[in-house]
Amino acid sequence: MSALTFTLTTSAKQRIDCSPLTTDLLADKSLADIAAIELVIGNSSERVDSLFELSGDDATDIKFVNSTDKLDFIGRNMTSGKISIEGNVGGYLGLFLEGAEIEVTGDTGIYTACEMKSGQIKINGNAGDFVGGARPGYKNGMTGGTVIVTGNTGDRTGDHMRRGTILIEGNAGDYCAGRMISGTIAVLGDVGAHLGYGMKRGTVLLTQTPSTGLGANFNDCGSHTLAFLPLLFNSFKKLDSKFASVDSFSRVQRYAGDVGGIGMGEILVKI
Amino acid sequence: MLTKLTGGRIYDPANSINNEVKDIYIRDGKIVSAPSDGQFDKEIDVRGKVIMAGAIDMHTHIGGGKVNIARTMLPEDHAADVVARTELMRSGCGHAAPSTLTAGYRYAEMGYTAGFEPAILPINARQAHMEMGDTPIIDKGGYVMLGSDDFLLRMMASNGDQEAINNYVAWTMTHSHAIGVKVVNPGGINAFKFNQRKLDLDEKNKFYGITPRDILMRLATAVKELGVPHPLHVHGCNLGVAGNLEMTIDTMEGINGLPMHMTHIQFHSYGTEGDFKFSSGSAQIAEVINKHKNITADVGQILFGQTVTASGDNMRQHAAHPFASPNKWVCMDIECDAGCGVLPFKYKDQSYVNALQWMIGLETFLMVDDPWRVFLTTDHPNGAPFTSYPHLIRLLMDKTFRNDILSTLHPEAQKASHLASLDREYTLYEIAIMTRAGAAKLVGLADRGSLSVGAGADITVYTDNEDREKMFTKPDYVFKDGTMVVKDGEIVEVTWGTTHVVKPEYDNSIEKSLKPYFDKYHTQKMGNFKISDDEIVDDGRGSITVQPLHAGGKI
Repeated sequence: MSALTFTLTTSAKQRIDCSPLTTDLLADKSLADIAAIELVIGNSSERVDSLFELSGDDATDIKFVNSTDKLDFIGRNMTSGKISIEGNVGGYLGLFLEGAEIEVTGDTGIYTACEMKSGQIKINGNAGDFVGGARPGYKNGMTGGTVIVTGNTGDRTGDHMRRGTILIEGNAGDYCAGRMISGTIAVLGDVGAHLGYGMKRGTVLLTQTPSTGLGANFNDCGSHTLAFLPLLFNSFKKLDSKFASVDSFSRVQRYAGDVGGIGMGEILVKI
Repeated sequence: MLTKLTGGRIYDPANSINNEVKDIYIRDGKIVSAPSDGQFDKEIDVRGKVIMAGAIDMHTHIGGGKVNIARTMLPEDHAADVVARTELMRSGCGHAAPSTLTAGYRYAEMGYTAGFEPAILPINARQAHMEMGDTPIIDKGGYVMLGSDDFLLRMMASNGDQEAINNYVAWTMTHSHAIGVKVVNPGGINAFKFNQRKLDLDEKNKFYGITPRDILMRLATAVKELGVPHPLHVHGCNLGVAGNLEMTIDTMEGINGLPMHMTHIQFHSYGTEGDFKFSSGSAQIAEVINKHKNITADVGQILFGQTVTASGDNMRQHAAHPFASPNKWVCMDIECDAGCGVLPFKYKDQSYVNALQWMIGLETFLMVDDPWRVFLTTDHPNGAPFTSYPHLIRLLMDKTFRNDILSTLHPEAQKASHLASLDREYTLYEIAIMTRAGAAKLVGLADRGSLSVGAGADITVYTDNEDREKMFTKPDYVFKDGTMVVKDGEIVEVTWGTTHVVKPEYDNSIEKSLKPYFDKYHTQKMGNFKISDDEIVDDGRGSITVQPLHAGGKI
């Protein structure tokens, strides 16, 4: 058995909805069936084999090769198995993901891990805006699972995030943890302006004070020794990430906010 | 072309025809008499089938600002109910707040051929008409919302005479192309802006010193004196408040015999008895309606499930916002002239209050004796989406079905209601009254809701089925102005209905005071406020039908 591989053979001019190409939907399908699936592209549709070259046979292990930022909705609703992507991807990677795994070698577009329920997404590059967020107009973002970004994330990381963990090895953009309801975001690099804007609960863990400082909507609660932090770092050990090798610490400066709302969110900065 | 519908069982209450086998002839969009030579071009065999006029929804929120707010606020409503385009129909979406096109198709598929938007804010009337203009197949029209507008309240505060108020009402109706006048929480929307959070029938607006009772009297008088057939359409005080029953009765009795339509009366029929301090007042309400022939009512039945409530009553919507589900809501002022509140709501059968609301609505239907004065609505989408009408019809026509559902509801609510003891089952004839002949008469549609010769050929053909929900969900044929638009429950042709209006006469001198008022306070000039006929007629797709006024209008 070798991974079921989709090699993009065209330079797509319009966006391609790849949501039919998941382990769940392709299980028990022959290559000929898969080749005949119609994918929505722009305002029309085309057969899979007119866009991709197909090889392999293991539908629990899917690969996209030559991927570009035009491929949207990869791994939508997926509940098992793995998708690996060589290249960049478009928006809504891992929308509603539940228990499956996705790994990308390049960058992702907007709404990565949108409303993800469980499982893991690893991005070996940069992620766009709204990582782990909620769809426009919806109230809850990701509700579980882990997202690892080795590069930077765009703005509004963790918007409306409800549960789960986002680990960012690089920098996070503006409005990180905005409107966050709960869950954990950890950043090894810098964080943009308006950190925790409208944050209700949840934890943002930083190794350095943001270069633009913290907003007036967070109160300094002093320095603390928090016993849960070593346990948290311990839980990172099994991950394929820089976070696995971060030296554990438990001394942090704690800031609580957004005091414009219920103010139960916390930003913890390593001292 | 002359089309003959052969051998159907006719239910036409407008002509007192109850289940008689008759042929119907259609030519040029009208029902015509049998040709003298017996010749016709096309025959449709409808032997054994039930024939009624097209149904009319006299209160449904299908156009205007608040529906758009609901659409914008509820992407989940749309994501869960997506309709793809076909060769014939355009795409759309939405369960509780469907897009305009989808609303029109779905109404037609159920045998409805007209729907009336009950809350058109004058200053927003253009947008409401544009939206309704995009609602295919069905006829439409609207009631213009007055009673919390400062111009009227100023006139009343300065003791302006009734003649001037009549002029203002007629001028507003004419230029916003309305067929009726609605008042929502009389004066309450205005009082909300002066920080009043409730307003009883005899409670004064803090700024103007005017009570809801004054406003109702003035407007009901104006509507009557202008000869507008549709009585003043009243969404009363204290919607949804336990104990609002007495005020509703006072509203009906206090209007002194003037014609008045009480809308979604279910929401205004609550007592305060029992452990939950929330009880059914439907018996008292029905008694008052039965006694006062000047009063009509539509029920505003709730049905269980997810919907959205959209109302001009920002005062009550603001009070209800903690119950929004999902938890998001909007209350806003509109153009300094009125307001609105939109909040999504989920009616739950295991909630005492919701279960009792369901029972109160049905009790009202079953205890109001005269089907000509009670109307089938869910106050779409506030009680439930209009697509649930067939289910509601079955609840009214099938006692066993009704009691089976009743027995699954919140047990304490069951004890608080005597619905189980009501044996009445609506007949097909009574359903035809409520949804056709009665509704047409109430709205003031002279040429609709009946199968008389000369009436518009809006006709539905059903296969009789003991399961009334199935029967009314999927008509065999629907004709709109003589064109077969639905066959076997599916759209086969898309047409565009007319907009029904009335044009009461008025003295144009009212513009002398209106023009400076618009210049000083409004967001648009008086000239722009006036909607021209051309805007509704568009490129010929729409049209305007002026319905006759009652004789004896005073002006």
